Amino acid sequence: MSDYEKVKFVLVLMVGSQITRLFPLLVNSQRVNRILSRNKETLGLLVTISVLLYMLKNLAFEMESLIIISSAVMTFLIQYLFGMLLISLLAGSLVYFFSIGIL
Amino acid sequence: MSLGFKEIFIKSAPIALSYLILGGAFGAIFASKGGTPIEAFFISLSCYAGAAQFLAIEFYKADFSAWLLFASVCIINLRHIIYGLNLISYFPRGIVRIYLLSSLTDESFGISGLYDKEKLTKKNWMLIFGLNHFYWVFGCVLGSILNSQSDSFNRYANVLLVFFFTSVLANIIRTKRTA
Repeated sequence: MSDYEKVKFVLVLMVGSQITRLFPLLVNSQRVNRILSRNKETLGLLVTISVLLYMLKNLAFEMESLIIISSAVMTFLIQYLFGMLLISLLAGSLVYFFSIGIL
Repeated sequence: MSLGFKEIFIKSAPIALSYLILGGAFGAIFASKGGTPIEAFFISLSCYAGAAQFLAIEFYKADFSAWLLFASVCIINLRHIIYGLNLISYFPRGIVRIYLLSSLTDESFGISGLYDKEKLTKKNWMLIFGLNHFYWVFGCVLGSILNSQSDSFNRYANVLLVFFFTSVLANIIRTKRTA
């Protein structure tokens, strides 16, 4: 690639990735705010669930997927019951590695 | 209420781990395609988009289609519009808001769910998003310098992200219950 093409590559990538992020600046945020104000937390919950489902899209009925799901359930329970983020992630990772090691 | 650096740093630790691994994987693959650490630095600093950056590697060759790259990146990043609309009212006004929007990623959106967003100050927002940005840039540059690929590392980074979002989900439900 020539230097010109490299600069073009970075610029296209930069504009392409920033245009969607800066889009909310263009819309009337007050109006959107009014629409979203009642359901903001619920929307956050829905978006988080969607992201999680998107991440799990490649799961199949196989042992590793089951291990990931069960480790994730344990992570969820620790965070939900005790509110300890790092501990929940470490516990999930430990169970994952331990189970993969046994396999 | 202003949060301290220590609290924000501890909460950002899972992001640091996954970003260093994923960013490292991007840097390594990018370097194997002929990219330099300086290019990896500028791409990760200005684009800061995980999936889009991995996709862009396929276009990193002479005579690439700029329009196709642009359209593909826009489509992949469409979800950022929802994230932005959801968070924009919490962001402080001015140049800080532009930075926060331009550095909005899945993980930054997720980690904001761990805080009481109404109470975050301008400094807190900058620290939360700035730390994540730093981890990503550092991981990408480090990966392009070390140039070593590891599938198991990459796989663990993705699993860790699943655990992270599970924790975020649990935290949102927990907060809703106690509110």
